[in-house]
Order: sequence, then structure tokens, then C-alpha cells
Amino acid sequence: MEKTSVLVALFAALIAVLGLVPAFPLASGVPITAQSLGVMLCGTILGSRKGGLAALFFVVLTLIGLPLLAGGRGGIGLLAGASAGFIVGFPIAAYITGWLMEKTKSVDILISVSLSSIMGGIVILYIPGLIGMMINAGMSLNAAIVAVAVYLPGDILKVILVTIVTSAILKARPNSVLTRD
Amino acid sequence: MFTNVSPYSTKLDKVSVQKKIVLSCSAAAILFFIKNPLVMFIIFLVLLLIYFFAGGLKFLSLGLYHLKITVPFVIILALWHLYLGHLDKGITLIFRLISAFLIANLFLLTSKIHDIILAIQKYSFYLKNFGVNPYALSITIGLFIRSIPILNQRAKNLMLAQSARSTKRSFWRISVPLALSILDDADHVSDALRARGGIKKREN
Repeated sequence: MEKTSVLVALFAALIAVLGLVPAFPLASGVPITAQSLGVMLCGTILGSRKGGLAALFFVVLTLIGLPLLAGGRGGIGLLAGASAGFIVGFPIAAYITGWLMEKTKSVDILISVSLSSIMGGIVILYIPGLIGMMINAGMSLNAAIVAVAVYLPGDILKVILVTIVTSAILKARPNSVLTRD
Repeated sequence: MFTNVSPYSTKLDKVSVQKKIVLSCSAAAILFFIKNPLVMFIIFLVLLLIYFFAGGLKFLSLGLYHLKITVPFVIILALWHLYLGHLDKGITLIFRLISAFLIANLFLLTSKIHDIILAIQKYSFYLKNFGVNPYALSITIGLFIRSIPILNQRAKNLMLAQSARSTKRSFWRISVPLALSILDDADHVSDALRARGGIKKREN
């Protein structure tokens, strides 16, 4: 119980701190931030349940009003913005990333982390992200896909970084990567 | 750490955070049901009046200044709907976005973070009925808020240490030591919590 609470708090704080890394606002209204990197790390290190909880904790506190998103954004108004789908998708992305990590325990860590992060942190995260852009910006599916395509190179870099970090942690502290217990 | 509170005193400062959370969430939810651009524009004007009557012209200016983060999205929405020829829909979406941010900022500008956290902790006890341990939630919120400045400072220190050893500053080089330090912290803090009776014991 204590360890779970502490891990959830610290990884949620990590997502918040990654929001302090300067964000690059793009024309679509969704900025490039490092926060989805934190979401992927929650999944790959903590696993589905704890990783999903950490991301959910961060999202709930942000929507209640804490200015934790990149650029000091917070509050229920975020649900009317272009990023709404991505924000709501954070816990789902972390959960699916962690779930895939748990299902690929026997696979090499590099392949397991990169596949899980791509599926959870990109494919799954983009689904609510696209829906949010379609609802809040009135875009068609094709236009929304074109708009989010700009984020793909950055997200691929994040997947590479998550793979490096998770495999390094597995080497240094094997017991700390909870998805490889 | 979080410095969104208005430097100007307003009539809403003394309204309880709980009431403001409920009111702002309800108001933001209502916005999603309004499809008429004229009604949406009137709501926007009413919100500006609320800002003015709550804290005067300076507070209204502050509220408008905080809308700057919506500018890129407003421009793209306007261009996109001009291109499609859906002016009504574009105006509704733009004023919905601006109004939602005005509502959220009104809450943030008139509520101290400390009071928001206390309100969350107070109401988290109702979650006991849903199987959530309110003490665990309370400790998690406290740890979360306390950890943000600590982790931020640690990231800066690691970046300084890294730049002392290299001419290039790169975030990815500090990511592994930062993640390892978080996991070490998790071990130390959870041991400390257990040594002080743990979370489960507090329930008794």
C-alpha cells in the first residue's frame, strides 16, 4: 500500500515536471510536450494498474484545477481545447503500455518496451486525441490525422528514450521494473 | 511553485473552494450543450462582466491576459472554419473554448493551491464508499505536490552536473539518473511511511 501510493505520487510528479520542459505550440493547438514521455514511462516501469493510476491521478488533479500541464494549463476548460482527447487518453495509454509490457515479459526488453510504448503511447493515445480534435475543433477524421502526423517524429524519439531508460533501469535495479517481476 | 493566483483581491476570494469547483465544473459542462453562436457570445460577455464585477478592470485584464494560451487554437479554428464556410460552428467552438478557459481561470485566479488541495482531501473521504482508501489518497496528494519542486530541482542539478562534463546540454542524458533517483526515493519514502505506522494502520 505504502509503496504503491509513493510510486503513484512520484511518477505523477514526474509527468508534471516533464511539463516544465518548454513546450512547442503548434498550429493545431496541441503543443509538443515531454509529458507523454512520462506517461509511457509510467506504463513501462510501473505496469498497467499502477502506471494507469499515476496518469489518472495526474489528469484528475489537472482537470480539477492544478496548473500542471505544459505551459501552466489546468482546469476543466481543458476539456474544450484541442488537447482534450490526449489528456483524457493519458491514463488509458499508460494502462495499455503497462498491460502490453506485462504480456511480453518473456520477450527481449528492447523489443517489449518499444512495442508497448508505440502501441500504448502512440496508437492508443492518438485515438482519443483524434476524437477530441474532431469534436472540439470540428475537424474531419482525415484533417485530424494530417494535423497529428506532425507529432509522430517527436513521439518516435520519446519511444527510443523510454526504451533506453527502461532497459537501463532493468540493468541497474532489476526489481524496480515492476513489469518484469 | 504554482503561481496562478491573482495578485488583486476579488469578491470571489472568500467563496469556498468546494463551491467554486462545483460551479466551475457545472458551468463548463453546460457550455457543451450550447450550439447557438449568439448564445455562446452572450455567455462570453457575461463572463467578462463577472470578471469585472469580481475584481475590477485590473482583474478583467488579468483574465484576458491568461487567455493568451488559447490564441494559436483560436486562429487555427477561425481559419479552418472560414475555409469550410461553417462560420456559425466556428464562432460557437471559439467562444466555447474561450469561455471554458475564462471559467477555469476564474477558479484558478481566485483559489489558493493550498485550499484546493485541502478541498480535494476533504472530499476524498467520500470515496471510501467506492473502495478507495482516503488516507492513501491523502498521502499520495501530499507527496505528489511536495515532489514536483524536488524533482524539478533535481533535474536542474543533474543538468548542471551533465553540462560540467560536456559542452552539450541534453535532456536524454539525465533521464536515466533522474528515473533511478525517483525509484530510490520511492523505496526510502515508503520505508519511512511503514516505519511510522504505515497507511493501513491509520485506518484503525
